[in-house]
Amino acid sequence: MPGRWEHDLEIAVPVGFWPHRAGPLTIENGCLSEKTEIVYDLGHLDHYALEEALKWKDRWGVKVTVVSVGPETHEEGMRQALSLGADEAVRLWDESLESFFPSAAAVKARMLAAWISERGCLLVLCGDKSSGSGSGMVGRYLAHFLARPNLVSVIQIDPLSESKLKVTCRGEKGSRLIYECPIPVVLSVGRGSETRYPTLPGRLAARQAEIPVFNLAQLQVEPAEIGVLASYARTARLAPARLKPKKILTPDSSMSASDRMKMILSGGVKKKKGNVAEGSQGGAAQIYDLLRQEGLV
Amino acid sequence: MQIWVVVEGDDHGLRESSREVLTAATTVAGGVLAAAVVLAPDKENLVQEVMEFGPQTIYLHEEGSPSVTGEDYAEFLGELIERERPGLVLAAETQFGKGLLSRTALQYRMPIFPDCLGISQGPESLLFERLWYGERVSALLTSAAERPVLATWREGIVNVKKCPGLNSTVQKVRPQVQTLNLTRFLEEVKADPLTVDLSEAEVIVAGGGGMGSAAGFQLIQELAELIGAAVGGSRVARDNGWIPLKRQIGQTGKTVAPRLIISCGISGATQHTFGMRDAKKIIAINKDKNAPIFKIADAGIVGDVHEVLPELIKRIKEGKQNARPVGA
Repeated sequence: MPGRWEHDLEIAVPVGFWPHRAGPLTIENGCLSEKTEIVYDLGHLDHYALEEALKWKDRWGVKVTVVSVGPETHEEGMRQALSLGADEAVRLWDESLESFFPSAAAVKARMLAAWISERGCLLVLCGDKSSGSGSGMVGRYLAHFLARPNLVSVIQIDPLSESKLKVTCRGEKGSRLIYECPIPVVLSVGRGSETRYPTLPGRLAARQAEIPVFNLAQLQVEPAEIGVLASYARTARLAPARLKPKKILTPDSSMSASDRMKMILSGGVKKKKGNVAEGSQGGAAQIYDLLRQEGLV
Repeated sequence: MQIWVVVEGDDHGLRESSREVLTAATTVAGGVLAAAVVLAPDKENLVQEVMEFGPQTIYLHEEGSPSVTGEDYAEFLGELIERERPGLVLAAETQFGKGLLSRTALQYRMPIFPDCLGISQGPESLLFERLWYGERVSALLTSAAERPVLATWREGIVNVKKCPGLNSTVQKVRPQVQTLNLTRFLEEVKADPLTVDLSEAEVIVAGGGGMGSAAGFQLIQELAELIGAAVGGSRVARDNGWIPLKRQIGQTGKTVAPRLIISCGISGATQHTFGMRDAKKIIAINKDKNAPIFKIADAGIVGDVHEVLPELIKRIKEGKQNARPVGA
């Protein structure tokens, strides 16, 4: 592959450090309870984004830097990323952000954008949705602030040339959508191939690693701008998630009583007057014709 | 506050997810929806159906084309919102809906709440319910920005209820489609029908108690492989261990919406038909001519599946053989 990448290309992987999906979690007075020993982990999809970046590192020796917007607790997660093979970790944080974290995707993206454009990372791979607020908006906002294209639900990234990528995304009905896009780009990575485990030397090195922190002033972001972006979404309170709502069959109230009963008895399927044939020979022939009409045989 | 809904349509008319949002939005609005924005061709009485939810105004873009993505309409929607100033604009959490609203939110600096499970009136402003931390915590969010708010509603959680009786005025619009040529679409690779999730399958062959045994159920597998369909089954098939739970259709299994479903040896109990009520075409094979499945089937065959299926499989194989060019 193009030699330029071996030296120049740096992949930025924005990650988050959130309560583990299977760990304990309790809510008290509308906030996460401090009493529970919450187990934290890198965002579920951040693992996949990092894996894609590390695949590029394995193949072409590009540099992979993880960057996170979050309080000091996030450093543990960044060390986890370092132990998996990331080259460097950077944390962006300002104490003024505490009050509206983690709901403000726009704020996170603004800070990431400031750091990424300063650093000049051409390729940004982030998780499709964070395991925190899970809005899936950080990647979109980031692309917007950086004026770069953005593709979501990405599951495979292949280089076409020095400045072009072939990107495979998950589409509806289980299909795959394939795009060609230029570099620089922001790609939101979805659930893809298996992720790797950390190595022991990796873990030891990660323990020692220095994680620099940048605040708003260092990033040259105006607090007023952050204030506007933060006003977009505020957390009122948290509550234990109610049972997943599921659709049930409820007949339209405008229908007559007898129609409603018929609908309930049929399981919601409209009665049809299809023709019914008897006998296996004729039946098979009829189905065969129907399948032919549908273009299946 | 004025509430708007952006609806989507496809070849079969109004999308189910759009019906759900229309229902939810009418409830949030307290009974009267201010407007519906229709960005789809008026097929299969789509506009008529939107009217049944009683929006006061319908902004209709008649030439909506399926090849245009949601993002392409962002400028049009943004301008329309800036001009009319609704308080809240909703769409379904689909590729189209999310693409359109998120780009509008970015370009016009409006707050957006994606994938909401509920919207209610709080003490000061609206409260948006979302799921956090891997869907384990429900978070109530508000917006303090003095801008119209955008939100997408999760699919499949609202029972559709129409609100007829009000007359809507239809306003035709001609949106400027603005395509951002940043990426180029190359191709779409369809999913392998044998491994695709049942709820996303286009064609399904389903078997029930009438298949008799695991060996009998092999006929379903064989037919599915021949016509490129996914395999499904009823609760009976699942209880007998012929299919895993993820292949069960019905109230306690998956809800499917294929283009065509072939039901073999399934009587058609309510619990099963509930899970397949969105199937476009149903072919049923059953030896009991009074089986309820025949009442909802587009084509029914009264006969033993163990005779009909082998005959059908034979025909399909013969058809394939004949189609093969000489010498191949």
